[in-house]
Amino acid sequence: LVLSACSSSTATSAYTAAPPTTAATTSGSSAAAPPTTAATTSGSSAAATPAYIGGTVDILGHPTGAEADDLVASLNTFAGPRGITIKYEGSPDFETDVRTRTAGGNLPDIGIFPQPGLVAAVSSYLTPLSTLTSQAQWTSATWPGLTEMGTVNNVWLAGAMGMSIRGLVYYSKSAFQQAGYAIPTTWDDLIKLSDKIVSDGKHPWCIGIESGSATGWPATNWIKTILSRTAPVSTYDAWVAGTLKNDSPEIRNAFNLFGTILNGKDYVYGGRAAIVSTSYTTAGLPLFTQPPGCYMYYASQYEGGYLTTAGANDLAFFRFPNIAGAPAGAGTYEIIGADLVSRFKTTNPAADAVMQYMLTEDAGTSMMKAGYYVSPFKDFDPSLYPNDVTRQSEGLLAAASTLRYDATDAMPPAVEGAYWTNITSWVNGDESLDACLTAIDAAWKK
Amino acid sequence: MASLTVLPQFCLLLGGLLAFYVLGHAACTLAPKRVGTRILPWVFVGPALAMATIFMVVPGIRTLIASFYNEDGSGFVGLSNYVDLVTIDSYKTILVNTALWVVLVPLIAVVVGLATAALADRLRPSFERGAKSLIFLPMAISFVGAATIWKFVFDYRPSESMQVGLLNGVLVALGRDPVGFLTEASWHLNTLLLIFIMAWVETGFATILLSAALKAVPQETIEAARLDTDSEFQIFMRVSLPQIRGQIIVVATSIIVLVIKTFDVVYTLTGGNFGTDIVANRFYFDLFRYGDQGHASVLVVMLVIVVLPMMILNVRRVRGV
Repeated sequence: LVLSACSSSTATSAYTAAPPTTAATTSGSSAAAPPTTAATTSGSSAAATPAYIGGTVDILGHPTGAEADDLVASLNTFAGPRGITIKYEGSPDFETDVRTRTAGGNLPDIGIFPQPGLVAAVSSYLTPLSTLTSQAQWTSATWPGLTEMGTVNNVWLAGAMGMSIRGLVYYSKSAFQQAGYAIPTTWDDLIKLSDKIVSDGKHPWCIGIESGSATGWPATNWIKTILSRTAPVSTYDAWVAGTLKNDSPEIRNAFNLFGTILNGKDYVYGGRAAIVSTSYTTAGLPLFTQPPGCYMYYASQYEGGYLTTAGANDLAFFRFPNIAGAPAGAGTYEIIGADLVSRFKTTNPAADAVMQYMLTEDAGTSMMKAGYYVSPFKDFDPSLYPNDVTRQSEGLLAAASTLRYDATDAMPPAVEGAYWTNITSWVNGDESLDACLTAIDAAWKK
Repeated sequence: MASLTVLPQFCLLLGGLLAFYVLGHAACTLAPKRVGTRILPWVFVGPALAMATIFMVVPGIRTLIASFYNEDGSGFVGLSNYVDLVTIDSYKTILVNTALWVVLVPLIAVVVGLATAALADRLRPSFERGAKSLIFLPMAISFVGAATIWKFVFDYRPSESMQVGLLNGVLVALGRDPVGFLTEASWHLNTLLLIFIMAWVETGFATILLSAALKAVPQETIEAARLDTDSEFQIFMRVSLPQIRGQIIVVATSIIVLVIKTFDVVYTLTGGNFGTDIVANRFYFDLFRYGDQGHASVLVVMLVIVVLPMMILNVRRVRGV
């Protein structure tokens, strides 16, 4: 009780204290920025020993473990020669930590956000990136739609570093070959194939939506992808903005189609209990057991990264198929997630330099090697990707008319939270679809 | 880094406090005796009172006020947050679960703890120590640790694969289908299992305190009773138990206060999903995840209201009123 009361009071006092500090730092950093930019660009173009900058950069990010190590290694290639120390703090509870630290006035220098919704929620603590790099240049070098994803109230606040494409269905090449299954190209084929696998006495799907206190998010990815295949981009945008209710025919249809897979008899390996209690980090592994526990695993490229060791050269994917009878414009765009980097309003020239670096193509190179991500830069060298799966997924970006950010991640955190909790209840059969959709819509009103 | 930068201020505060005590004490001894002895207690208790006011009373009042405001404290909403507590399904679940926790954990812990204490009392001293140590052992484990241990007991894997969970391992070995223990909400199964974990931890606490209480029961009263009856059970129920009633209430109320504030076990095992949510977990999510001060405050206010009678009861017992 004491703790709670304490933190709520610090939160409010920090809000009132923020504006003056903010003003001071913005003017300070924007005044300091141009010289720093000049120094770094001239340094890198000369390719000689870079100028010494020194100092420590405090980075708070959501990547942890090996992912974080890759990231820090990548940043150190820039920071090391310049005498900058990278202090990286990876948080599995990033949503909570970033709120606590901004509210408490203890700002990190740079944040690596998993969701634009959260960027918007703490936007008052973030520096416009146009003070650090050219917005026009960054926009033209990256895939379409990425600048808009990091823009809040017409101010560009976050740049994408690594992107993960949604809507991939992973499978084992050898398992498909042995069983003689063909890659489905339409939704009807997908269902027919699922039924055939069941009639062969096996399970077509692996699904796992457990993710600690964020359990449920992998299930929301199904809804987004199905919606992107059944509705035009305008519907998707209206849904993200909250103008299209969840209790609408379009969203209901997406839930119902997902339900076809969830409720199909023997469709899912382990049934409901496995869906809600299997971690997304291990859910796809039965693809590669002998005999296979399942044959198809829908995931984003990020979860697919967890399969690269077990699957190796046997791992492949097909694009989540289009759905017949959908209105024009459906199935032409792709959904992505991305690590968004933002510069908090602190005065730290070293952080300015590191942030500028993070907005370049080179910064992500080490991260791309892991296979969780593709680069946001259009001319990224494909040979730097670890495997064909990653190289092929980049092809989806080129084929797409435009890209959209993962919808729930772009919604306010309260709505996203409601989505995770309620979709979990619905998947587990604790809640009817009506109750689930009503509860999510109620979170918008708050 | 941040904590180091406030070090000078912290030293200043400590030095100031020390100076306040020394100077205050000196001033009081120099002052006329009647005035000095009156003021001296306030000099000593003053800083503590000020701290308690700044860190507990003021935030407490702020929380109460925040409970009548919207999610970011910008608009007054009256009682609407309180109404939500009894009308929104997910909050209603919390109230039901909290009731289950508050009743069952103390009940199991006290009954099992008392039984262990009474039975261990009849063992040889070395066995008694061994038995009580085993029961007490879970107390030494953090709640997160305990939850993680039990996660391995309740773990679910599809029937085709190897079972990692102990319970499902046994079920499958007996030819049954594995059960998703932590995701099965019917009959509150998962909530009851979480409650069991908490009781498992707290039984040790009850055993130790009640064992000490039982040993303090005057032997004469028990020997006198033995002249009247052969039933040791009757003696326990009618002679020993009434004499340790006070300690049982203290143990039960302490556990109730702890249980109402429980967070770790639920957060670690289910994250409040599958109908297992409880007050402290939801409060945490409301405030930190959803940025909703209003609803978080209501939950905390409710927590205080429920805990308050227990605290008053305990303080009174300590005072001996």
